[in-house]
Amino acid sequence: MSFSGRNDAAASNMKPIQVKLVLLGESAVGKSSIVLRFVNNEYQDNKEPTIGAAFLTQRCKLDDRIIKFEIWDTAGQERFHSLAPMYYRNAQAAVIVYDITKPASLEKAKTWVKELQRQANPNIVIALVGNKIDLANNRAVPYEEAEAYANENELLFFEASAKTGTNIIEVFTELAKKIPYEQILANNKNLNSRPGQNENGRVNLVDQDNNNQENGQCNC
Amino acid sequence: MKNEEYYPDFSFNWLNNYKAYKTDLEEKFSSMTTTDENPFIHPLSSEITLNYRLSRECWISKQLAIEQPKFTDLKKINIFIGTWNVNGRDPECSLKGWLNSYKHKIPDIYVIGLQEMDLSKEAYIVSNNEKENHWSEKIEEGINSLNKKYVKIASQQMVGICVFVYVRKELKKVISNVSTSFIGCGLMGIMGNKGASGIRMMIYDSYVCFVNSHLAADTMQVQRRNEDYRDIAKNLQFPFIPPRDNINGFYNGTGFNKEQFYTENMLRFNITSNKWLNNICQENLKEKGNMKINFSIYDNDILFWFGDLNYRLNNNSDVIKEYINQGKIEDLLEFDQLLIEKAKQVVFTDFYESKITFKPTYKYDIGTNTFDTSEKKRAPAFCDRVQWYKASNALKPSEVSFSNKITIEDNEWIIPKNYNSYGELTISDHKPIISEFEIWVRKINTEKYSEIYSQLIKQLDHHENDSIPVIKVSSILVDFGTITNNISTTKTLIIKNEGKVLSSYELVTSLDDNKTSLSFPWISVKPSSNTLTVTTGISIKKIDEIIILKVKNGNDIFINVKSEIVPSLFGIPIETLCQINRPLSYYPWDSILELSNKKELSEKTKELLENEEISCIPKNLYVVIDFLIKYGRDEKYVFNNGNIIIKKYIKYCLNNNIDIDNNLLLFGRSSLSDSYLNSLDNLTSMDSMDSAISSISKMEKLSLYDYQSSESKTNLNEIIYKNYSLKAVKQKIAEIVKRQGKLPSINSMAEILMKFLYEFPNAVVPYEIFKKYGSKFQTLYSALPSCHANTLNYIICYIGDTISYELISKSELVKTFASAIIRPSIDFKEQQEQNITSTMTISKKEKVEIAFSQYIDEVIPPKKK
Ligand SMILES: Nc1nc2c(ncn2[C@@H]2O[C@H](COP(=O)(O)OP(=O)(O)OP(=O)(O)O)[C@@H](O)[C@H]2O)c(=O)[nH]1
Ligand SMILES: [Mg+2]
Repeated sequence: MSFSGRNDAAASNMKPIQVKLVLLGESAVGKSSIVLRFVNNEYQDNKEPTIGAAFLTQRCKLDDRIIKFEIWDTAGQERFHSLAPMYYRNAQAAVIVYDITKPASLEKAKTWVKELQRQANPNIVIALVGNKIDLANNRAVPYEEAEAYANENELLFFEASAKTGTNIIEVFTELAKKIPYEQILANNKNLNSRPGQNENGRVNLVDQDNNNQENGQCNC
Repeated sequence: MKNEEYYPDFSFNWLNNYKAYKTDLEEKFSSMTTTDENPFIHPLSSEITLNYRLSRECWISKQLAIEQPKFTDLKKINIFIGTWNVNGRDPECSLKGWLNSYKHKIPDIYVIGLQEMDLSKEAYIVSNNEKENHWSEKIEEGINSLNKKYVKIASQQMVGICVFVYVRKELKKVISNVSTSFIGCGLMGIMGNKGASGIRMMIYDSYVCFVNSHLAADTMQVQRRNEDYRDIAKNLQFPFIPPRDNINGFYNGTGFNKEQFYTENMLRFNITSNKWLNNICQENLKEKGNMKINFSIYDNDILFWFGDLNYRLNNNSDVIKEYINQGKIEDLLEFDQLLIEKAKQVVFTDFYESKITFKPTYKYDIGTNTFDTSEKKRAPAFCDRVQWYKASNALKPSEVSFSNKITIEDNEWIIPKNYNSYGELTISDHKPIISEFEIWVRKINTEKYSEIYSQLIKQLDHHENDSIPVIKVSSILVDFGTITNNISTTKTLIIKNEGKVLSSYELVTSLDDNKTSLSFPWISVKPSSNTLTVTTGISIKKIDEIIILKVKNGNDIFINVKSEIVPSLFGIPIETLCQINRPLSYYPWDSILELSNKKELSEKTKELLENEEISCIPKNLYVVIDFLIKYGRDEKYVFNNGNIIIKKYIKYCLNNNIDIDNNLLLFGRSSLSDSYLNSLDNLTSMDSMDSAISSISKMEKLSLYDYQSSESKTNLNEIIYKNYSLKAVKQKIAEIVKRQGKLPSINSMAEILMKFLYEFPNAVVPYEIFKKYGSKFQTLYSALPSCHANTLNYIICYIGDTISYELISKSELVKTFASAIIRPSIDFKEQQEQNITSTMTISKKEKVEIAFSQYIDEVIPPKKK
């Protein structure tokens, strides 16, 4: 039996795979700006620092899949560092951002990489992103240096700009391509993507039901 | 039902989703018209829609249904439907004439329904394709010619009832999802020779279904026929055929995915009716186990039902024949049982049929065109019919596609073109029927569909992000400034919902999810009390914690709670105070706790206390009372109207064992030179005194209780925002005293005395001891621990002295002091902000006051006038 065009329509209709993604990096490197660019295609010049963790969702079409990113944009300030595990713990993807005009921010990024390698989900897909390439005149981190580091640690690597939009979508789509979906589909049934909620071991049948629907089996 | 043992879950709770789905769906479908409407915000309650998944699906489906004209093209297909009861004959003759007698256009699809194709006894028991193949060959021979070739899509036999579908070769590629089904009617179900067989398929993107049936015979059996109809309509079901390529995530390895099914079929929803949804819901109720989904004949865009329906004419043979002879076919229809039953709406509801203009197709003498001449003389009848279904609420083709120009005549999904019988075939006692139709089928433009779908998904994301609760807190920093032991401090944090949905939140203080997550009241009360309870032995000097305000389905907000604990004399037990003679800051907090809890002293504490004599009353209490005795005698002062700055200064001096500058407090003159004060200032923050002063100022911000009574609002602001230094404080005090005299200083000192007394965790005279020994001062005195006894004695002396100056009445003094001195001791842990006096009943209070008044008289006998 052959299939008509109807089938492609059905394919894009299928349920998306949820991917929890966390953004990490020093304060003011542009994490929130990257998310804002990705989700709303907007940019604000003086974005205030994030105090807390912002939650946003974005769907993405990738070949025959729909990926639903559940994005946690974390606060970069050092004093909040200890709270980060809550957000990267169940993440399947991480975007670690540094500012190409600030060498110290790359160093901070490296410590994040180490921390994730040590403590995060072993299958986590990490992208290292050098932001603010629109400020290339003030560049203080050579492309090659960061790239070499990324290769060494098997990270995806991009230089991008939230301001101009350069490479922003690419970061997320390339990440999306690398994610081991079979595992996610298998795991989604047991995991809740929101940190701290319903992970406290309490058994709540009603909630669990809802969670399952909210996670592994959502439909659009 | 048949398979109950497979469905042990009789609660059917899981079904609620589908019920919700349905009502949600209906509600949304009726109310939502634009993509601007956020599916995640409930229109009525502004409450977040409980089920994200269903909301999403409903929204997407609805929007797709609205948008479908943009991505749907309509294609016209010509269909030839022939039905013939062949009376068990073999196809010895050519079918070419019949099958090529179409009047309208060359058919794209041939649908042939035969009845009584096989009347052999074996046909009931074993399925035998011999006849079917034979007829198939004949049909193919009949429809194929040099310039048009057809291929068989499917055929389905049920005993003698067989249906065939052929399609023009060029169109084969647009046919998909073909399935067949059959059902037997009558007593033995499948064993009967009545029933139906059907074929369902997708042509482009529309589901089309053909049902061929043979209903109960005999003129009198109208009811049986009606029942057969209902039986078939209900039970003829087509299996779901999953797409061959099981796209990742599509079926998820767990069998059929219902959600997918719903979404997929939502488009069709508008074209046919919503019966399918009811059906499926009921179906699911039975089929929990493996989610086997069947489609009823109504779950289609196009439905034809034809065959030997066997309805007769309600008249006798001769009359009917007379009508026929006169060519009054139309008049005959009045007697037609099917039309009569349809008018009653008991069968073929919502089915349509073209007008019959041909002679009855039954019953003929074989080999002739003469109606039955046998003994039985069966009356002629329109047994063989073709019906099609049209749901009353279906959309019109013009509403589903923009790209086609559809004329009024064309604005139906099924357009009948021809309805006739074919007399030339005489091998059976029935004549075959010819019918021709044009049907519209939908062809989804995949590109446009994807484009619109992506847009909708974007919009949906937007809505979803929009429905994320927006919670604003008044401050992300809760700075308690300096907090002091035993003084509960409260900070208000305003949490405001600025979003569009209701939300709940919780405050989490621990990274470890298994630990307690604390509720909101905790933060206003508990941190100060918890961390300061001596019995818990906490020795924190600084609190700097981040608590997380978790908003359900939304952002997390970090709130920094900060404070510094500065020990103060207030709230420390009398015994401890008698043991320490140096500034409080000299002693580690642990040592204070050890002393206060009467624990075993550590080496360190012992060392600190070495060579220190124990004073008989707390030194600082002595300083305060002494000041009042010396300088307050000539003032009519009160015990609750101190000046905030002066009080701060006094507390500062007491806590740090600094001599109170009496010149300043009494005359507004500082005993220190200005230059010394300046140098003091220059010590900046390194200087502990200065920082202590500035922290005092911070504390002031918090203890609202203190200043509300004494300071006006404007002054308050000045105090709060002024950058304090010792010099500034002194200058301020000097100003006050110069303007108002020493009364503010005396009042302040008096208030501090009361604070001292109230905040002793163990009362000067614990109520239990008072109850036992309180009848006489002497007995009480000897029952009390020495430092308490001394303190009591000293205070009574002070009161007696004050009374003797006659500015403050005895009764006022008794009222003020009695319950501050004689009261239940409070455990350090319970000591918090409770108003201590309130723990005594009025009668107890009165008793205490009477006794206290007596003690005064006992110690200092009133002067005889
Ligand atoms: N020139 C330039 N400025 C950027 C770019 N991205 C962000 N910024 C600016 O950098 C500042 C910090 O950006 P944020 O997005 O708030 O940084 P953040 O990483 O989220 O910071 P925290 O929330 O404190 O962790 C803002 O003023 C942005 O406008 C960029 O690509 N180019
Ligand atoms: Mg940020």
